[in-house]
Amino acid sequence: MAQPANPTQPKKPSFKESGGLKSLLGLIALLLVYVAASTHLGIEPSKFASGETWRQMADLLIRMGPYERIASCKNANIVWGEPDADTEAPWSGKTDLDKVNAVCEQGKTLYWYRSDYLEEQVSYTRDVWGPLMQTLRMAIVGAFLGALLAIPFSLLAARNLVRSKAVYHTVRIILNLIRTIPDLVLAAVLSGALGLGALPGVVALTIFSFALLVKLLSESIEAIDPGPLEAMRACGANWLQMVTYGVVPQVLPQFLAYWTYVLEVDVRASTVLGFVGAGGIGMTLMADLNLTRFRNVGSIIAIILLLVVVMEYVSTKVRERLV
Amino acid sequence: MKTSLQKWMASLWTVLAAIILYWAFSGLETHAVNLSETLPRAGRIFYLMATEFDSAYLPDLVAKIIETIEMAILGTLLASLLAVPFGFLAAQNMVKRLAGLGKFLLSLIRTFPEIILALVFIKGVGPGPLAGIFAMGVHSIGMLGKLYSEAIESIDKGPQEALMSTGANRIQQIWFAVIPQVLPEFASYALYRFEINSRAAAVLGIVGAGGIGAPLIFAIQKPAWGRVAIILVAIIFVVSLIDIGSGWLRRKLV
Repeated sequence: MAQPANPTQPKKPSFKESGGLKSLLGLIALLLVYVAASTHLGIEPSKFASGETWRQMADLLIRMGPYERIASCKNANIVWGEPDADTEAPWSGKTDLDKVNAVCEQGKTLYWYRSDYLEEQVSYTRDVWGPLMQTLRMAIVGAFLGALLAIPFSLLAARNLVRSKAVYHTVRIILNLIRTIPDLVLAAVLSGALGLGALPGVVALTIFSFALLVKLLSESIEAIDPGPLEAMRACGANWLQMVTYGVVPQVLPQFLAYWTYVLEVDVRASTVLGFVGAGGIGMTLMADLNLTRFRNVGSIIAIILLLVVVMEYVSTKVRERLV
Repeated sequence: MKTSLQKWMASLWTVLAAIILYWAFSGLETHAVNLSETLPRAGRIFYLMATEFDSAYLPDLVAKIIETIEMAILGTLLASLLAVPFGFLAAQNMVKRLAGLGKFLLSLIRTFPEIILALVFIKGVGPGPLAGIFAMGVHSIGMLGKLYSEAIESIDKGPQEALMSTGANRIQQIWFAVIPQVLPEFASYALYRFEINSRAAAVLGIVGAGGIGAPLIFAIQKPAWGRVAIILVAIIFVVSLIDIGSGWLRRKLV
């Protein structure tokens, strides 16, 4: 590099020029937002410093596994154990209450391993097979009906196919508004309007996947090669012919890829739709939770995670092949 | 041209898809629903929502909406900080072999539904916004950590190597060469997650984790359709506003 004639040091950028001021202002703004929001909400993050909070959460997680809580006291240490010869397991109906109380007085929370855990949960899995399949069915039907509705509307929401600005903007705005409604809120309102069960779930998923698909699909229609369309227009093809022979062949692989993605999102959503009574395995989960059958809750969560992971894997593989 | 094998495969997939669709439709158990009864009822409810718009609820609604937005802000803030170490842990150019483990951990976090996390936190800290904030804070790590790690992986290596050659240690390299490069992207991703969390915060109240969800569920169960309508309009309005605002900010950032 050529040396300048006057070898002065390059001027150090001032604090303001280097962006330091902006960063500092941003940091102060974030801090202010944090202080304002947390004081207004009246939350106490210090709760997480207390052992009782962690003990309560650990209690839930332990009871989702193969352990039963036998004795519990506030601020007690966890003790693991197994039913021994002179204390029958409580699930056999014969608990030695004196022994349990003695544990409590020592300041311990006692968990016993359930020897029949595996058999119990295997038979329970058979019971939830129905709701699980209903979840899958809801997702498939919702994604299918959503796609059926999305095809005509995504043509209307594509700038290069619709000459009328009014139609294009109206469809866009309505779809944007629909997409702001969270899926569970939609399902909750629909389950109030249509009654409990799979129907509100399917309708909610249909609307949800419809709005998502139209957005994705209309964007890929807008990005197609205009050449074939212009050639057809020059030959005097009508609008329908242009769509069938100019648009569909170009966007079909993308459409299938998007549809698989929407199906994956739908499976994810349909597992929790039951929380608001819209059918599927979420309803079973809520019932078990309300009856404090935590071992069953644990199994259902494991099943949901498995379903979501499998669905994610399948949809990723399919999309890799398609695009 | 398509080969005959490809044609066969295509028709095979079509038949398979048709069978799956038939299976899904036939077992849905919605045929028990009496449509001639349900549809007029639903129609009446939508009529009630439009005509008995409960505007007297507005002051309470505004307070609840503000609570919901604050929850989303705090949850996003928590996640955007917690996700930074995860992002570095999952970036190939930072930890080499360990990145696979970090990526696996992040996808595990992503899989866990927010609303189930909220249930665990409610057990710990009791019902209220705190449980919702932590549920969002933990769940959002999954997506933010992944995006952060991708941003870190795509940085310009020059500044880091320059610092290394002058004898800067690892912390100094990260602080002076990596962080300044990725900070705008981090902020942009956090804003995007804020849009998602503002929807999530509206939902979490359904299980008792604070925000507008709880009054919504009560209004549906009561049922007070005029109130449901005003809550829905408020959610749509606020979420649209947040989307527009955050989209504008993100365009300025990156």
